[in-house]
Amino acid sequence: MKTTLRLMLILLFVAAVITSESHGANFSVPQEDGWYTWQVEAADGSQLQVYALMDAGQPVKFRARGDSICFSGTSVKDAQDLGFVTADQSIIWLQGFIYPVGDLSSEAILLISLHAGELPIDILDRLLSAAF
Amino acid sequence: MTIRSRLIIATIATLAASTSLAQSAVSDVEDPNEILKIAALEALISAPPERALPLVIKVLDANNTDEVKERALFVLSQIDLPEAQARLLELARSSDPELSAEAVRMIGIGGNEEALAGLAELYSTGDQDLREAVLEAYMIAGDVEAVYAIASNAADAEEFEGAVEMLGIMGAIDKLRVLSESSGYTEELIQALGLAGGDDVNATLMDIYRSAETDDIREAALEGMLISGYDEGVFELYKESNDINEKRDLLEMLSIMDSDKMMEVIDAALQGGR
Repeated sequence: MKTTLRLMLILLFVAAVITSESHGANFSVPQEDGWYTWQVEAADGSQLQVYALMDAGQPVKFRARGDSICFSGTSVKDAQDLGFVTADQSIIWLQGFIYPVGDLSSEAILLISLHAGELPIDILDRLLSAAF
Repeated sequence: MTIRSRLIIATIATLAASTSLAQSAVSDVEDPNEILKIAALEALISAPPERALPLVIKVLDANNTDEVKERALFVLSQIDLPEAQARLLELARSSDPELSAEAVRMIGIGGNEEALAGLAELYSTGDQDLREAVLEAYMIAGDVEAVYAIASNAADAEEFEGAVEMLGIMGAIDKLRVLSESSGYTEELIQALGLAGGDDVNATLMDIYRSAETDDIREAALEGMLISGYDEGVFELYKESNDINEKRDLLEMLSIMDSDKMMEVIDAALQGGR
């Protein structure tokens, strides 16, 4: 019985670690002014290049390019590359700019929807289920 | 690149290009939840159709604003699944007249053949507003045959006029000519020709005017020229005419058309010509 309980606790711990890593709460774009870019898996399975323009510690513009996706203009040549990031990591960072509702909200939502995985649909579902 | 991929690119490019438009539209909406719902609906277009469908249906079934439901209907029209098109048709049969008319229009935008075919039954049982929505949907989908079928089976003059006018807007000159074979060029057909416009139509309008046996047909031909902007034709008729009353009517028409030919008429008059 004790062994079973211990095993269950270990499994729960491992699951928590995996969840924490896959959701990647630690990812964030540097606050220094300028363009930053990172790669994620896109909803269609291809690779998506995401761009964010930071100004005074906050993103002011988003862009994205992929095999079948072009969001908000062309790519940026002098962006600092942050490398590959899991889709969930990128989404969680972008999700932080949905509220308060403003100019970036719609861009963040659209950009989130281009990412791979279940999280984009979950977020859209939550937004669409909100009561007036 | 698949059609779906191209659609995603086109959609996102459109959304991105129309950011200012979208923002101005969104700025009209005051409720933050509504703003986010509209953004989420637009984002659903790039989601896998089988995932997007239940979310869109949930929005349509819930107590949402007309604005949100209209966006949801658009997204539904873009989902290429039989269930989505069936649902759209179901909503087109709704007892809510605004929702019904909007669903009909979205069927036109979606262009799904089965859903479009379902509109025929809706047209035959619908009221005037719904019938207009169906004609508009056919126009959006470019379904000339469906509009032609309505025109050729019209039960009354009003129904005939509505369908024929739509054929004119759609530029379906051949269908208008076919309809004229059984009834001759009626006023409705002549004005619809004017809506279609073009060199062939202008020549036909001139023929109709010259051979008209009634004033009504002559006036309809003139109105057709007004609609198609054929002031050269009106001017030609003016020069041909020796009837002072007719010349006055034609001159009045040139004036309504704000035609440069008016100056030629004035010059000729000043020089003592016709």
